[in-house]
Amino acid sequence: MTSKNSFWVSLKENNKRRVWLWILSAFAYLVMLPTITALIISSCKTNNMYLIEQFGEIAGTESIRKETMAQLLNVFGGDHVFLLLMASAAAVISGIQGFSYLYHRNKIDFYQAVPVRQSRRFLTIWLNGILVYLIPSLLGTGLSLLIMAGNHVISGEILRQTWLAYGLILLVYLGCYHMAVLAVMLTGNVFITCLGTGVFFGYEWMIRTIILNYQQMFFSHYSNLNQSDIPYLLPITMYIRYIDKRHNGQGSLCTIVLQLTLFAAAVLALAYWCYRKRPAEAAGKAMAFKVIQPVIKIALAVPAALLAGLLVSNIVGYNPLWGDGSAGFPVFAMVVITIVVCCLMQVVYEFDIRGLLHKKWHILISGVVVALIFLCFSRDLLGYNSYVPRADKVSSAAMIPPYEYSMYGDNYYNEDLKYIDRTGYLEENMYLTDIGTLNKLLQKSIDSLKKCKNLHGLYEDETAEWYTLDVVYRMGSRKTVQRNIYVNLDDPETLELLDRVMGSEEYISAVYGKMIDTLYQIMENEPEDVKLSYAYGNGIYTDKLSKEDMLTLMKCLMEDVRKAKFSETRQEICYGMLEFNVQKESGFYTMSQRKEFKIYSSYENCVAFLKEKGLYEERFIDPDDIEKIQVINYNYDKQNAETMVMDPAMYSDTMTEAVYYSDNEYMDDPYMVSMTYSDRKEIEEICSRLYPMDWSDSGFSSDREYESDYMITVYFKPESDVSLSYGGSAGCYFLKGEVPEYVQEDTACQE
Amino acid sequence: MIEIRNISKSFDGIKAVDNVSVSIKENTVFGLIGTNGAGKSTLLRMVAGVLEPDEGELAIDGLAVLNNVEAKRKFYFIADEPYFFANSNAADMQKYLSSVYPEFMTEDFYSYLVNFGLDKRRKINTYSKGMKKQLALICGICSNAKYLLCDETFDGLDPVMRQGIKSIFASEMERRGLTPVIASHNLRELEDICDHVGLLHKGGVLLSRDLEDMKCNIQKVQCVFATSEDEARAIGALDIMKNEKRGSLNTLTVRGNKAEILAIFATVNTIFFEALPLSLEEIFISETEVVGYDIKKLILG
Repeated sequence: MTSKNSFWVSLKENNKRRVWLWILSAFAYLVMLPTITALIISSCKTNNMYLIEQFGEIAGTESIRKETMAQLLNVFGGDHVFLLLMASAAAVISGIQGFSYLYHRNKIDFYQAVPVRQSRRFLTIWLNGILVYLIPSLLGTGLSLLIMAGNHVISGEILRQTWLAYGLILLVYLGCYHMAVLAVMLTGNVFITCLGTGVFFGYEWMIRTIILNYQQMFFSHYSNLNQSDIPYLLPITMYIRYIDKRHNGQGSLCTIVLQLTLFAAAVLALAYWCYRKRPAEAAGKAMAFKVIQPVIKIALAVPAALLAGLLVSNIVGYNPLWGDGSAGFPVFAMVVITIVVCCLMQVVYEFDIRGLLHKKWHILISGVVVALIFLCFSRDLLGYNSYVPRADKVSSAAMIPPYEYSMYGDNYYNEDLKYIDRTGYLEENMYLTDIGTLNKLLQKSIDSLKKCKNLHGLYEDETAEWYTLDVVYRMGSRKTVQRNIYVNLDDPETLELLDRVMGSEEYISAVYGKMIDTLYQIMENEPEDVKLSYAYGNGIYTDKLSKEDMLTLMKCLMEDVRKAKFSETRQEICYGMLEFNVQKESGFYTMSQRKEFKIYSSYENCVAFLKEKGLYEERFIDPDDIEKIQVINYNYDKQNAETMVMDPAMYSDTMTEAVYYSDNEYMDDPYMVSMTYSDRKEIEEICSRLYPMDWSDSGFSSDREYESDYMITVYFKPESDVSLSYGGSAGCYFLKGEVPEYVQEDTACQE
Repeated sequence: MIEIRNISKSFDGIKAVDNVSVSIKENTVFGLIGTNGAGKSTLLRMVAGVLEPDEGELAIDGLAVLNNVEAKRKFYFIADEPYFFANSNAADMQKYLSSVYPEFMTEDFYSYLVNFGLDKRRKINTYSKGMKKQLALICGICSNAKYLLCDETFDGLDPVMRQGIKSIFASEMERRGLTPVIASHNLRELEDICDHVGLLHKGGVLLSRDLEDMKCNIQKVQCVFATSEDEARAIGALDIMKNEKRGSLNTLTVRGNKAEILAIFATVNTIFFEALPLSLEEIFISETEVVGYDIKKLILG
C-alpha cells in the first residue's frame, strides 16, 4: 500500500534537497546548450559572409549552411569534449551530493531509523542523480536541435550523430556518477570524497605514467609503440579512445556501448555493496571502512613516491640508459615523499595532527614496496633488458622500421578511405614467422648494449650507424611482447638479417601487398562521391597516369619489391613516386588523400614500363627548363655552426614567381658564399647531379648522404611548363661527393 | 517488548556499550539514564537499527531490527539532534512520514501542532531548539509506532511542555499501548515521567528496576526514639540502608514495604515519627550506594 506512494514521496523529498543541482543542470543544458547552438549558427553566418560575396547568394549560403552543420556536428556529434566534460562534471557533483547524507550523523539517524528499505533509499537517490542530468540534457539537446531545424542547419546525419553521442555520453555519465557514488561510500566526509574521486579518476593514469616512464628510463629495449598513459578504466577516456578510433574508421559502437555499460554496472554493483556494508558510524570520518585504510595509504604513497623519483630524475638529469647523473637525489625524494604521504594520510585519517607518526609500519611497508619496485627497474630484477622470447612460444611478429621524414606516402588507408596510422597498420597486418631471425637481431642489440654499457658508448662508435626499430612479438597466449631493437646498418650481418626479414613475403605483404589490394578494391568499386587520379612524378615533374597504367605499375611494383633487397635499395636514389590520389567530397570540405610508392632504378619492371610510356627520367630536372642555378655554400666547417639557417623565401615551392636574391645580398654573412650559374654547360653539369630538396633526408631506408653545406635553387624559365605547374623555383641538394669542382672553388670561403 | 541481550558495541577500540541486557516492557515509560558517554545514545541507535551491534541480540516484538522494515515500523526514533529536511516545514514532514508510517495520524498531527503553538507552514530551520524537539515528539507520537525512542528529547523542555507531553504519553499509552523509551543524563528530568528506569554506566547496566517497586521497597523515616533501648530494638529489626543522626533525630532509609516498617515502629516508643516520600534521586542514591557507586558523581554531578 505504502511502497509505491513512499517511493514517489521519497523521490520528491530527495529532489527537494537537490534543487540547486536541478537549477545548475537546467542552466547548463536548457540555457547554455541552446545558447551555444545559437552562437555557433550566428558566428558561422557572420564569419563566412565573404562566401556569399565570393560565390554568390545561392552557392555562398549553401556553403555557410554546410560549414555551420559541420561545426554543429563537431559539437553535438561527440567529437568535441565540451559535452563530455560537462556530463562528467555533472555526474561527479550529482553522485557526491546525492549520498551526502551519509556524512552526517543526524541524517543517518533519521534515514536509517525510518521504515524504508536500504535498497529503496539507494534506488531513490541513484535514480534522482540520473534524472537530474537526463531530463535537462534531453530537453536541452532537443531544444538545440529545434534551433538547428529553425535555422535550416540540420540533417539526418546531425540527428543520428547527436543522439548517438547523447547515448554514449549518458553511459559516460553513468560511469562517472557511479565512481563518485563509490567514493562517497568509501569515505566519511565531502573533502575526502572529493580527494577519493580525484584518485579514482587519476590513479590509472598515475600508474601508467610511472610504468611507462620507468621502463623508458631503465630499459634499453623498451618499445613505446602504442604505449599510452591514457587510462582504460575510465569512462571519459574510454569514450575518447572510441572517438579516436572512429576517426580512423576502427571504433566499434557495440564494443564501446558494452564497455561503458559493463563498467558502469560493475562500479554500481561495488558501490551498492559498499553502501550495504557501510557502518553508520563512518559519518564524519575520513574512511568508511577501517580495514582499507592501510591499503589505500600504501596504494597512494607508493606511486606518489615513484612519481616524485621520476620528477626529480628529470630535474637532476638522472638518465641511467645514457649513464648520466646519479640515483641519489631521486632515491632521497622517494624516501621523503613516502614518509610525507604516509604521515599526511594518517593525519587525515585521524583528523589530528598528533597522528602524524602513528602506524609507522605503514611507512615501512610503503618504503619496502617503493624500494622493491625501484630495484625491479633500476637493477632489472625481472630481466627485461636481456629477455628474448622463445621462438616456439611466439606465434608471429611484426617489425616496424623507424619513421623517417622522407618517407613520403608511407601512410595507409582502409577500403573506406579512412587514414590508418602507419604503426597500427603494420602491426595489424604483419605476421612474420621467421622469429629466429628477429631474435638474432634482438640478441645482437642486447649484446652490443652490454658491451657498450650505455647508449653514450653505443653511439660514440663512429664505425657504426645505429637505428632503432620496434618488434612486436605475438605470444601464443594472445599476449604481446614489444622490444625496441638497436641495429647497426654498417654491420653486414645485421644487414643480412634485415634483408631476410624485409624480403620475406609476410613483410612485403604487410608493407605493400595488402595496401595495393585495398587500392585495387577502391579502383574497382570507385564510389560516386570519390574522384580517383593516378600520377608518376619525380619531385619536380608529374605526369598523370591512366587507370590501366596505374594497375600495370602496381603489379610491376609488387614484382620488383619481391626481387629487391633492403641492403641494396638503401644504396640507391629514389627516382620517382607512384601516386594514388583520392578526392572525396565531405560536406563543406574536399578531402584529399594520397598513397605513394617509391620507385628505384633497380625496379626493373617499373622502370621498363615507365620508359615504355616515356615517363622515366634519368635526370630530375631538364636543363632546357632552367634559366639559372644559384648555389649557396654555407661553409659550415668554417663557421662551425650547429644549425642551418635558411631563408624560406628562396626556395618556396609554392610561389609561382621566383624571387631571386642577388649573390651580393649574402655578403653580410662572411662564411656564406653564393654563386649563380646561367651558362648552359654549367647548368647541364650541375643539373645532372641535383636531387630535389624534399627527398633529401638520409636515414634508415637510404644510405645516400647529401652535401648539407650546399643549397641550390633552380630558377625555371618563366615560359617553361614546369614554372607554371611547379612554381618559379625549386630547392635542391647535391649528393655527397658530387659537387662539381668549379662550384666548390667558386663558393669556397675566402677567409 | 524490546529485548536486548548481551549487546556490545565499540568505536575505534573503545567500548561504548558493554554486554548490556535489558528488557523494555510494553505500555511503560522506560527511562534510560546515565552520564555523558555512558552509552545511552549508542544503545538507542542500536535499538533503532542505525548501528549494528558487535555482539549480542536485539529484537523488537521478536523481530530483528537491522534492515527490517517490519520491525522499524514498530518504533519512531528521535535522535538527540532531530533531523528535518532542509527548507521543509511541518506539513512537508507530515507528508513524508505519512508515506513511510502507514498508520500516521495526520489529523492528530495538525491538532497537536495547534496545541503546541507550532506553525505548520513555518520553515523548521527557523524553529527554536525546544520547538524542534516538540515537533520531533509530535512526529513520533503521530507515527502511531508502538515504541517511541527518545534520545535526550526531554532535556531543555519547559515544565509546561513536559507536562503536556506526559499527558499525551498517558493517553496514548492507554489508547494504544505506546511505550516511550527516554534516554537522559538527568535523573530529575525523568522522575515524573518514567515507570521503569535503567541506569547505564560505562557501557554497562548498573540496575534496571520498576520505579513503583523501588518506591514501595524503600521507605524514608524520620523519628526521635524515646530511649536508646527503643532505638537499638528498632534498628535491629529494620533492614536499614542508610541512617543519618542529627542530635536525637534519626533519618532512616529502610528497605521494606510501608506496612512492615510501620509494624516494627509500633513495637517501640517514639517521641516523633514521620514517614517521608522518596524522590527518584534518593532511591537511586540508596540503591547504587549499596552496590558501591556514588550516584551523585554518576548522575547528579
